[in-house]
Amino acid sequence: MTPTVLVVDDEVPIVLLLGELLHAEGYRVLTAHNGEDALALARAHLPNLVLADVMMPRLDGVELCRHLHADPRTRGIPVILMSAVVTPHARATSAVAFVSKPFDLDHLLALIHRHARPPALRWE
Amino acid sequence: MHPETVPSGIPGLDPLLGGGRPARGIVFVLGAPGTGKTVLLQQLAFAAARAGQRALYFSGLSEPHDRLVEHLRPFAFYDERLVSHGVQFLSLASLLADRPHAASGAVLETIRATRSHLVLIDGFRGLRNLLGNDEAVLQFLYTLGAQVGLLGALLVVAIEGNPRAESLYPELTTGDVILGLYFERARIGHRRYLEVLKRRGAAPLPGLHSFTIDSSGLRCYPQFELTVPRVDASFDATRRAPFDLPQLDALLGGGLTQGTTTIVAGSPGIGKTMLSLQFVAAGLARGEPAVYLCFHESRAQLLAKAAVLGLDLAAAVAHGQVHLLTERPIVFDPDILAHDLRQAIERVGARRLVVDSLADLEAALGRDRLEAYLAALAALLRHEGVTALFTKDVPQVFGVNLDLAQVPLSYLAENVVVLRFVTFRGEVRRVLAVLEMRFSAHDRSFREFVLDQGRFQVLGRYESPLGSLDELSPQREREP
Repeated sequence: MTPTVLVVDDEVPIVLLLGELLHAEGYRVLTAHNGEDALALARAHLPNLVLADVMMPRLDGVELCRHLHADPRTRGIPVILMSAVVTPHARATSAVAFVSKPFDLDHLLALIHRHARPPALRWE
Repeated sequence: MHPETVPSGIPGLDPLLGGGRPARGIVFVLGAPGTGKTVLLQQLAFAAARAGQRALYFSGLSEPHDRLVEHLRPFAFYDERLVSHGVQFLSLASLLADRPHAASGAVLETIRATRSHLVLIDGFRGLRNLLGNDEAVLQFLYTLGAQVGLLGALLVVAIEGNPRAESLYPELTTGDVILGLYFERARIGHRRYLEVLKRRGAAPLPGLHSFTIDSSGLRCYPQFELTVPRVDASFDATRRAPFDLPQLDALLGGGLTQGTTTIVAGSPGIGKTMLSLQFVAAGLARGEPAVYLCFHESRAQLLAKAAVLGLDLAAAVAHGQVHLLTERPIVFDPDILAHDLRQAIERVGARRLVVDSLADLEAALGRDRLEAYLAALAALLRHEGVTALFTKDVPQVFGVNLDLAQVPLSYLAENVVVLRFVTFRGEVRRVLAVLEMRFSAHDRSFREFVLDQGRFQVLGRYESPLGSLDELSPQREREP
């Protein structure tokens, strides 16, 4: 089954870039431009991974992560946060990884590959 | 957090940008055709390649790359070994031909594939032709800029147009840096100027700054007044810079105070240049290197005059004790001159400076910059501990009435030495006096001097039989 990644960023070009990239890597890609829409999409589609920016209008990345992991249905979805600014607030989340912008795409892809494998293929 | 700043690799540009270019983001370079945008972009590309980065240069024009390289080859920054591996030339037209609707994606794929840190797009007009309209171009630049920034690279886009045209403003809001290039008619010839219209995350130097393009490429010269440090230099009024002319040094209380500026005012032909050369020779005898700036004498003429004093100026230049700067009057650029002067002072470790003459600086500067420029020059010389001598022609040939309103005492010179012709019993004689010396006691009496086969010799105190030099002026002599 094709793993699904939900990409969330309020900057459209960045969503486009990551979307195209992940699509080319064989992922099914969902996109959102704010935390609220992302939360709704995650609940509806249960993606294998959420890649979210920290600074966004209407529910930021940190809050999105907290909501996802507070909900039993979405608790198991790994979240990777991205931001140009690494704040203690952003660090103290249940995200599996934190990526500072700008980033090395290959490094980001490696992280995504590691965390977005379908649950059936996971060790745990 | 502001993007990291890195050296641009273009001489003189980094101070204008407040330290360097951003490592990532978007830079717009605006200017009319022929202002130097392409050279700027290509020089940035090769500088990045030389620093071990990779640069992608997209030509918006449908010009074959061999022609592009042909124009590039004469520049010193061009390095054939860096082409392809360090700097890759690509045609935007070929790249976008198949994917006009996914233009930024096509460019981005190339950036990723080549792992480039610097992406240059030369030709906004070319882009418009390729993408159909301005709106599509803006969308393309916005998308590409954000994506390139995310990858930690810098996008530089050259745009044809007047940098001050308000119609361009909406298109440029996404830029982290906006540079304006100008090519303007001067009184003689043309001058190039660069202006930093916007710089996010750093404090640029405001104003229009000169730049040149020659075989070494582009070089910027910050407005001199903005670059002089505002620090108090140590000053010791007891330290002197003598002329080794005992009578004159006695008038000066032992010589000029070190680190001060002196104006030597006098009629044309009276011996200002010889006195200046004597000042240099006396410095060299003490191991004090000098810079000599002149506008009207050729190098050969100056060497010949120095030889009269027994000064082998050519040898002193060869040994790095003297730096001779010969500038053409009127046409020189004051900011380039200040840069060259500063470099020359540093190169030889100058303790003495001669500027022959102040009038040439005044003519090139014009009223609006004169005071600020000369004050900055005086501040620089104080800071460097250089004792300076500026010659100044005064039109009145005979007599001693000197209009000091024409002498920039308040902001340039601490000391004034005047040289004058006087007539006495039908003979023309030369006299000198120290009219002003701010940090020292000095003798205001006149001394007669002669140029003995060109050598400057100061004789004893000059006493006129009529009591005053004024009475020796031609008008008075005619009186019964």
